[in-house]
Amino acid sequence: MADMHSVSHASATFVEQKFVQMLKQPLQSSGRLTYVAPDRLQKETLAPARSELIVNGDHLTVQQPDGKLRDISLSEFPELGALVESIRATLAGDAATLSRYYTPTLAGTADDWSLQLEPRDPRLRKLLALVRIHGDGTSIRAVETVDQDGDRTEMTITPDPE
Amino acid sequence: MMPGRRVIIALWLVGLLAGCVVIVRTNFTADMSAFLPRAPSPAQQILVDQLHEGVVSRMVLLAIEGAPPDTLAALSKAIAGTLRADPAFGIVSNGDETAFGRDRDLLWHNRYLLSPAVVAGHFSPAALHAALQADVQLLGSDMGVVAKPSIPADPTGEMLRLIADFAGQAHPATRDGVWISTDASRALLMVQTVAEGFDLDAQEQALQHIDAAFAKARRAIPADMQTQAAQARLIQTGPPLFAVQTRDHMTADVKRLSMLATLLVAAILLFAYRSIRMLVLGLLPVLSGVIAGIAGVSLAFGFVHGITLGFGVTLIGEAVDYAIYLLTQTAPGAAPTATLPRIWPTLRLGMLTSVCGFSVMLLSSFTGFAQLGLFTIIGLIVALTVTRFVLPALLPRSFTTLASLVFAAPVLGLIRAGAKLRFGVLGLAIAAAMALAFHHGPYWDDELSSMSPVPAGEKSLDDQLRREIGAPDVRYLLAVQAPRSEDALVASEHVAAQLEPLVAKGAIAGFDAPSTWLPSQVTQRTRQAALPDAATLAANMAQAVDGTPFRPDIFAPFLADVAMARQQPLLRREDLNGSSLALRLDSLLVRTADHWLAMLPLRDVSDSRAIAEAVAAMHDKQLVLLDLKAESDRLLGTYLHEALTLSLAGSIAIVVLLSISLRSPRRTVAVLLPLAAAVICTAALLLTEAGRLSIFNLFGLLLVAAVGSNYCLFFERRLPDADHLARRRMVASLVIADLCTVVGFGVLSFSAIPVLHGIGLTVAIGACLSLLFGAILSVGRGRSTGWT
Repeated sequence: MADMHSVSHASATFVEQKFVQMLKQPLQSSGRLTYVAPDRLQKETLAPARSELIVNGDHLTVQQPDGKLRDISLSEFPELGALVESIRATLAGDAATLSRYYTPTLAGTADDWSLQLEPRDPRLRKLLALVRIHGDGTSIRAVETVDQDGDRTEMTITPDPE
Repeated sequence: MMPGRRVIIALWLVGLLAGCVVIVRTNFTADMSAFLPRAPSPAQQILVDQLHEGVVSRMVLLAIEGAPPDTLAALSKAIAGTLRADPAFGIVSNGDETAFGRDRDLLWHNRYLLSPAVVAGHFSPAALHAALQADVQLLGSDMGVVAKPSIPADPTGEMLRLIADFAGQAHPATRDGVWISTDASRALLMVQTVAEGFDLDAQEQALQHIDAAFAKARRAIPADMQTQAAQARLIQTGPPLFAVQTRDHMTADVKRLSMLATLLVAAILLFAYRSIRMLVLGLLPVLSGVIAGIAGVSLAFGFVHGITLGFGVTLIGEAVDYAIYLLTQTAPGAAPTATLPRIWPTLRLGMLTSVCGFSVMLLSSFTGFAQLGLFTIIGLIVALTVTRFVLPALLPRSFTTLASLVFAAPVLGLIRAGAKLRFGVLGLAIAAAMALAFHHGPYWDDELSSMSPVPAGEKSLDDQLRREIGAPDVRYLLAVQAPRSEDALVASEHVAAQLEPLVAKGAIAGFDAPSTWLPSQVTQRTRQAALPDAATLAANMAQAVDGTPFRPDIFAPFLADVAMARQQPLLRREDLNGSSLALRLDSLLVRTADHWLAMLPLRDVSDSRAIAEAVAAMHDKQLVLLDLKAESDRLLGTYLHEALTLSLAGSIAIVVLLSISLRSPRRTVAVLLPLAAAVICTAALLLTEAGRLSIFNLFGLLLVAAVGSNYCLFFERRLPDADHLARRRMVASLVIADLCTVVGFGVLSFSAIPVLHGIGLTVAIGACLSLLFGAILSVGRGRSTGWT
């Protein structure tokens, strides 16, 4: 995972499936992910509705489906901050930030690894059970988050061809 | 030798005692309203109240720096914990969510009474369906994890709306749940004291509590952060700090500088008299004047303002000179009563001139100015009376008088050279007058900020922290008055409704209103009435869920909460007790003498004209748009304008007085010419040096006229006898008096506090020039005075 330091720019498409118990069927969305080292992450959802999330440093902007821009402080929604960092810090190979939010467990080989993250903050643990990230080499292939109530989100990532 | 000697001393002592009795019972106040016009506009009244006790005056910004972010965050949490338990503080914000638990509960349980979205039709099948569709989108989005828990009980998202309002302004970035600057170098906190802004002792205590909380936080922090925490520093800024610091600086400056000035003046007088006893006796007239002045103001106004006291003592500094004139002009071995007839007419006219100049202040529409005027008039009259009648009675039969006449020599030299220097002085005065006449730009500094005693460095630190915390200075404020609090809330709702379009247009970024946190009872009742009954809502919901991916059975909490909200008692002020909502409301809805005032601060005004137009369109006489900066500058402008008008009137009064007393236009000109030249040259010097003149310079010029007129009168005086020694003695007395004034005020000019610096510098320069010009121009009238 330390190799992640070498990644300065990455872009990929993603497909995300949310299994929410309140809903009769899973919610599916898809879009693009762009990462620019060291701390800019952009998640652009294209379907079913356009929305955008940009994290730049500590600044987080969400463009909601209704087009409204929202500036969010990560402490207002620590859950969101933790989720963002799980991906961003992994991409940046920033073990320090990761360990601030989570207890990480790395398994597998360099070509097929999986990183399991358990939230440290008790407040966050009330909501989020764990985050599981799969990857090969310096690419992230899948991110799975499991909420405490059993709801799940699965994001499958396909890196753009170089 | 004097028959009435004992009687005079007894009378004087009784007078002093009576004065002291009045002073002991006097009500001293620091109430700024004394410096409001006697008939203030509502805007001016609100301005002064705000400066005095408003939220702004109670806000302290804190920053912790000098340690790694994790340590800063831990310190921030520890400090906030301590301060939240401290009754001296109302709101303590550091971004920590748990702190808002009580607020969250209040908002959640009253969301249907508080949410402005609750109107008829808000819960129709179509509206609910649209809300559910939005929820699905929200769940699918990145905000889903945040929104999910509240959807079953709040599918229409009232809570999210309230939270967004509650957060209001932009918040700083955060780390570990607390506010931190963007570059992670500072943890930020915002604290509001319970004590009002003008209560400086309480503010000072609160600031000490903050320091103590920081020290405690450093000790209480986990062991692994101890070393780093030891490096951390706490920065405090904000109006309470500035107010306390200014008071401390002012007290320290006044103490230090007046001590220095007193020592220097005492040294000069000691050198002149060579007697401590004479030194003490020489101070009796001015002390008597101060006591009489305070007592007189107290009797006339019922109270004495602190500023009257501070300025007044400076303004009657002239009275120190009276004793100098008497004591130093008495020949060794001679009785002072022999000197008096010679100098009395001049002294009396000098005093009358000053009194004439200051008396116009009695006409001022500012109580503060009027008090200053009365204080000066009484003080000078009493000081001169004591010099005339009491001092000779107290003096020993044969007292040591001026031991050295060395002071006289340089000035006598000037007088002799006067004929040559005369045209130089006149040329200088004309050049100065030209410089004044052709000065580019405004003469007067009419921005309040330039008079602020807060050093520029601290002001910019304050601005920086304000930006980082997202708590910008409030400049624009809408205020509306009503007889009862409920009426004020209704008015607030009305105004808020008119402001919404301005937010939409982008003329303002947003606003805060008391009715947001406590809607009027009428509005709450209307909202309650807009909630459908249980059966209708269940049917509407069943219809709305159809065609969405939601399971139909999950919204039972919503149905239960709405049913409860239909019956729940309306929200009242006392329900908010103990929450930060209460503090927020209390800062926006305040009780005035016999009214309630709702205030709506506007955020980030980009189009002030649009707001002025919207306010005009509301046609509400009780509604005032306040531009705090413009209003305070305007208030200062009013002061300045009035002070200038009164100075002009005073000058005319002095000219009239001198013309009548001297009974000769030529002699009047002889007195006024050097004085006018000195005042003009001083003003030109100050204007060239600083670019603008302040109201403090104007006060200084008034003093120059008061002190300088005495010099000029003495120089002008015809000497019936040709006693050269007496003349030298008189010149020496003027030099000593002038030296005391220049040294006393010159020392003040070293202060960094604008008021002390401004008055000190002006008087030092002006007194110096008055003496020089008086000496040089006095020969202008030829040989008749016997100077040559």
